[in-house]
Amino acid sequence: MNIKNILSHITHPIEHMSPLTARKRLPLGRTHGGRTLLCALLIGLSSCNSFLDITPDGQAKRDEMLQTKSGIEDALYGVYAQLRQSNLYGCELSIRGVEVLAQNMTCPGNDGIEMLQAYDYEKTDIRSWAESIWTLMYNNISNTNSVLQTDLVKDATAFPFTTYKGEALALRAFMHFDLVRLFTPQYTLNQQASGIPYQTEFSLKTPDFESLQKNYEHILTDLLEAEQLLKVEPVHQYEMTAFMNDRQTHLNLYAVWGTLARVYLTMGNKEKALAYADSVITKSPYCLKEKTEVINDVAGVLSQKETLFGVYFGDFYSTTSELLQKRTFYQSLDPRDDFMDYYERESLPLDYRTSAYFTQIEAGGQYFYRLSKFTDIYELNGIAGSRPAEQILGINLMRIPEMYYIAAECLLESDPARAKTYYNKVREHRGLNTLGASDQLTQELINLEFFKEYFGEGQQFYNYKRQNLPIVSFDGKKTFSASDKIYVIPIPNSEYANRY
Amino acid sequence: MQAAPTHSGNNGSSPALTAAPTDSIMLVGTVYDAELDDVLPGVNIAAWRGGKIIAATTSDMDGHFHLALANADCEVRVTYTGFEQMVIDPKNCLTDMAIKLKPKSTKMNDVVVTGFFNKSKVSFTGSVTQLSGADLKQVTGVNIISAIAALTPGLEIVVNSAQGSNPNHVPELVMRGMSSFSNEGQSVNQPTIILDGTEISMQELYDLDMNEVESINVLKDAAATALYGSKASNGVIVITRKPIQNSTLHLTYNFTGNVQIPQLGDYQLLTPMQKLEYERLAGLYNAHGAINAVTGLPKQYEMDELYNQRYKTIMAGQNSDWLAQPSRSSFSHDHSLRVYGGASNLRYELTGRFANTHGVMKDDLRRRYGLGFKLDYYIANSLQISNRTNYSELSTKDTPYGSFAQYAQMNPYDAMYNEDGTVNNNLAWDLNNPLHDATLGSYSKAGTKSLSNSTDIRWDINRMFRLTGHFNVTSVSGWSDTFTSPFARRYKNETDLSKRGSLQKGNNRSNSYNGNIVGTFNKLFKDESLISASAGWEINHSDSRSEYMQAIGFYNDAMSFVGNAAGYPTNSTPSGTQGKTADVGAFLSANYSFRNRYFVDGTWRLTGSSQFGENNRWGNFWSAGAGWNVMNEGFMSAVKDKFDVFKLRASMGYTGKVSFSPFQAMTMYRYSNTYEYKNGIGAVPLTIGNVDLAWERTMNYNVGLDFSMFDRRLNIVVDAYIRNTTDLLLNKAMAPSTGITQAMGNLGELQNKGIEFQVDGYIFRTRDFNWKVGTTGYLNSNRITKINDALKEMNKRNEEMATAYLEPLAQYAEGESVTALKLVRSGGIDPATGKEVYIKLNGERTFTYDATDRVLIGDTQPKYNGTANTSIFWKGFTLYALFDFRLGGWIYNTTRATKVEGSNPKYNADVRVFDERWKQPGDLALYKNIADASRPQQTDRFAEMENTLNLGTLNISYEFGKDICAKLHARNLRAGINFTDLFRISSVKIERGTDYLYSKGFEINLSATF
Repeated sequence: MNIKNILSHITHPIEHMSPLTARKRLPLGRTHGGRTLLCALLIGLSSCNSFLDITPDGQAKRDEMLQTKSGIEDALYGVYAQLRQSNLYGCELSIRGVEVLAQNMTCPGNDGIEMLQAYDYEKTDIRSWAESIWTLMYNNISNTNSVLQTDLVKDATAFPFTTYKGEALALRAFMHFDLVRLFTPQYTLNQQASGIPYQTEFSLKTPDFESLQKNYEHILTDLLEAEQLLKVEPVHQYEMTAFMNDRQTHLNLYAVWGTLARVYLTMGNKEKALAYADSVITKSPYCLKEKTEVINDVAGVLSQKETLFGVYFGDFYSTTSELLQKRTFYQSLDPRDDFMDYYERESLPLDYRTSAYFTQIEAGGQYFYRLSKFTDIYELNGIAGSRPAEQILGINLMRIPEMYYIAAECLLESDPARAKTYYNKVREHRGLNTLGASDQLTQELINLEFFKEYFGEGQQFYNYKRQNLPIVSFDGKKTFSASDKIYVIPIPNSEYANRY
Repeated sequence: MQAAPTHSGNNGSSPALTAAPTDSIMLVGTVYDAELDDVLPGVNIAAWRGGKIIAATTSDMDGHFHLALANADCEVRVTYTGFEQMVIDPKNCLTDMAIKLKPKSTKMNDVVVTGFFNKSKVSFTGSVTQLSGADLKQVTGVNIISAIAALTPGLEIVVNSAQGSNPNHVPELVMRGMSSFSNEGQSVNQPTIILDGTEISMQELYDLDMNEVESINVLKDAAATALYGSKASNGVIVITRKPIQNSTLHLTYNFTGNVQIPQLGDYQLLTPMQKLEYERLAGLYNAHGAINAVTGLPKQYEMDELYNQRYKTIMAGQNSDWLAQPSRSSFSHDHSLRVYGGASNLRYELTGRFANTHGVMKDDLRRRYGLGFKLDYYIANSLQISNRTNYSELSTKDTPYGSFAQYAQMNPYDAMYNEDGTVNNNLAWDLNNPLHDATLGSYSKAGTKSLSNSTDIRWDINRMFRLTGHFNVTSVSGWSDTFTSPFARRYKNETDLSKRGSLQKGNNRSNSYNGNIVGTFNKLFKDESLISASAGWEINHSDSRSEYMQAIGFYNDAMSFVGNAAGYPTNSTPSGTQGKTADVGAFLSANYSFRNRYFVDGTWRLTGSSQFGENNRWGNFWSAGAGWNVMNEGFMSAVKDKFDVFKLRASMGYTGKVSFSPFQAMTMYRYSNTYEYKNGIGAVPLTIGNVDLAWERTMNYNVGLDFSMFDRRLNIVVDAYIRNTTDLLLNKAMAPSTGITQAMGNLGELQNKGIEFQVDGYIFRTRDFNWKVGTTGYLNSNRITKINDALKEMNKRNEEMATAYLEPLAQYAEGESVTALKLVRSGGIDPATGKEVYIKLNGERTFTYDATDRVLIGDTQPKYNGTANTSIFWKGFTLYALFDFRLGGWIYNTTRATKVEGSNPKYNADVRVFDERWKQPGDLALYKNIADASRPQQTDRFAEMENTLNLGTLNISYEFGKDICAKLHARNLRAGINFTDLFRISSVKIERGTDYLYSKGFEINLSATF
């Protein structure tokens, strides 16, 4: 009885499918005789392996966990959940670090912020700030690869495994893309630049550095494969499984299109960027919200109409409340001094965003603007219990207005009239006047719209970088001219030091 | 071993002399077990002449034998496994002899206890040190670990100068040199400890009642330890508790009283006046012309006033004895009671113990309670079943006075208490009074309760086969409470009352079981050749978990009950750890001895462990050995009667050690509520498991000599060894793009080489008087044979952190020891400037310190460890003295580096602070400018070679005579006094016992059997 169990365990079909596990099993052959003898002696134990396979509570062995749908889903949830670490999108890559680099946010007296504002990337504090982003991102990429490398996902042919694979590939590309945007020069300026390592394995093997061009090839390969795999999304979107619910919290098909539009635009491929942006606008279930819906639409929650992808984050309020809503010294962030000047305040109609995104608080007889865009009003007012059930707490990482701006930018030269319609559409939905037939749409106008719409959402810095624009300091006193000195964060030393 | 053929009264037949001169003789007789008085079948009876067998037979089922001999010119040997050999001269033989063989196993020196089965010592090829319970008690009746280490060459206690004589600090052992890089903690060098077949922890050994110990076998080389496979690398200590004698009811009581006084002699601090003078010279009272902004007067006025005020206080006789505050003389007592008895079929034993230990720092304690019950059931020559239950309890409390170092730095001219008896919190230079926290209600307590039950079965199937079984279940639960008073200094700036005071509670549980079954086969051939073989398997399983939580907000010092807490600290969650391990093993061990001259043995062990990586789940370990009993050779026959043992042996083998967590070898996902993701809960890999991770492997080579002559008047044991440890586990830094920044790998290689010896002998030996002297010695050299990038990375990290540590951190290099001391060479103090001159690697002299100029100074491990002992016995009195010495180890003298030169003038310092300090240009000084309070760089100025001699034990005991015993209705009565650590000479003057003082004192031992 015992021996039979062991044999059936060893010849488990799934384990044989993988060359990796097959290789792993090989050395055991030598001692197999001994084991059988030993196991035969073990009265009352179903087999040696089960006796020796010990899994502490709250843990699961990878090889076993990723043999089931729920295990794979849990592993993917783990990857999504890790995105909201404060050194990643939970703070630094959304409301804080990259917004400071864009000179949108500031914090007088905070040394770290001041170093970031001065693009002092060589400072120890900034080095470790960059290193933590780099390290955690690659850690999460590796966790994604763990899913991709399991047989059920790697050889996926049918739903839902294709969806798992599609999301995982998209996640891998999404994370690498943001590392590329932070740590390498802008592709359109220097295609021959060296890039970052593209990690495609869950193993102790360190990936090699590769050229920026190769990085983009990899990103596109992963995204395009994800697109194919997720194509069935509309068919399954009404399935009531937990995983297929709340698709905004996953890198779904439309988010993949959106990412492709972003990537192509960054690469300067306007044709492809337009195609994907337009796909999102025309084929996705998401659309621009009405101007009356602007208020509180992204207040610590995912925009129900506009968000293509956002990370679920039940505790985002504790970050936004400390950093943005309150005004504590040396920690909380103030918007740049002249930010209000960009919004059209003097002429009617009013930009609905000014009151939706900012509030004034009083401190010591003075009034200060706070970026209250992300402040959960239900938490703020202590009525968290009365939040509508359909709201999803979290951080918006991609919203549909960006697609309109991309489309407008791509058409600016080839078809200015059509570009203007995209541009006007967003302005309309924000309660603003539209450009008339005689008014000329310019890239500056699109950038201005982008600034007003995405203030605090962690995209501004990349938008400047992509266009190689100079950046005006938060206090307006200094202009940093565009160069790799400000736009390329040095890759951490530990990445070079520990390569074997 | 004398031939004493006795007459059998049982058989009733009358003896008759054989016809002496006739050629042929017929020997007829019966062999008995002398102890059980039962016949012994299968006994070999062989007649030998000139090293050859001329005739032989075996006793039948009733123990009878007949042996026909051609003539009487030979000797007849009666041999049987497990019994002492008997030699008969056929010339004066009786017919129908009753030969009574004495069982051997009652003499512990004849077998090596491996923990699974006993091996015959005569044909053992491994290296082992055997100690009896009485040997240990002669060294100390208090600390079993130090007793074992003192008596075993090759085994050392890790010197922990900070912890001193703290009774709540469990000592650590290292056998035959470090087998790991020390930065990972000493526990990785710990030997495996087996108590009656079950593995126990170092702490359980520390708390074991020494009176229960019958014998200890310290197994050192592969031939001795290979049975333990992946746990064997650091050696195995096998402890056997006392068997129950077949007797009427006996009662034994042991008492140990222990008086300890603190050793403050290492502290040579400044007197109040010296201290003030030091402050003045260091410039603390020099305002450098500053002006007080408020009054407009020079600040020097205030300084002078302060100085004069202190001067006045000192002249008035103020001299606070800070060192005396946390220290005390302590008395500890240990009571142990054992009741046993029984008849041949059923024996019982009841043990009880209470020990209350106090250290030399105020208010600490360690209490041990124990209760045990054992039942043995025997069927003669066939079955023995025994069951033992032990319950033990431990409670400990740490001293509330904190680290001793705090008191050594207080200024003696400051009053400790105010006139009203409260703690003086207004000290010079705004120092904190450590007595403030010490006198609050803060405490740190812990305890454990443990229940253990083991069953042992021994079944003698027949004369050749035996089956033994062992099964043990142990359950341990423990708790710890650490309470910090709300009035403690650390809450001085906390305004929120609900955040003052904290209680940390921890609890842990562990359940484990282990079992083994061993079959042994023994066959003795007529020519005294012997085959013995054993096969066995074992399982071990343990499951432990611990949980911690913290509560804060206590409004009152005296109400530390968790129910009085205001809440939990913010940003803190309950934490816990859990560990489950399982292993299965099987082994084969065989020994062949040819005519008791040449012997070989071999062991193969297979271990499967839950801790191994997936690719290395099963490990094979082995050993092979050979030996030669020179004494039994023909050419030795002329002098054979002078020798008791003359044996050469050699062994080699391969053992292992596991020191990583299961998740490091296989990828494990961890679920946590922090990964909650809207519609599900996420899981994240703990790390990328290294499936190739394997146990650390040690290849052991050992050669040895056992020599004993003149009826054991002179005994010598010498062993030389080489241990090559490969696949040492190290964390290596990974490029972050791999996904993780650190990965465990089998990377390092180390070698330990050494010699150890033990020589003892009787100078006189008569019935009433004997004098014995002995010495042991141990030399070990440790060398890193392979270094890799991970270690280089570690060196770099250690270099960066060097300034944060008092002592130099390790810098590993190939060819050097893991405990090498490496420092920059110093050219002394520049007479012109008072600054230190450093010598670069190329000999150039500079004022700039560069850590890369470090050179090898020496090894911090002593070159030579040894002991010398003597015992004199005279009419019941025994005097025993044990010296130990450590020679040739290098030490970085932190006292000189921080309290002589780098001392902060605001704190008290070593008296040497005045000596040899540079004061003005032209001074040829040993130390920097007295006004320079900065900590000096780590240079060889502070390195010293340490040689110490310590009289560890001086024991006088008396065994009362029969008549006195009879008067007191006692069977046996013994009393003794044991002076411990009576004196110590060291070539280095350094403050020892920085956290906890060292102590010396005496133990009183009383032992009575009724």
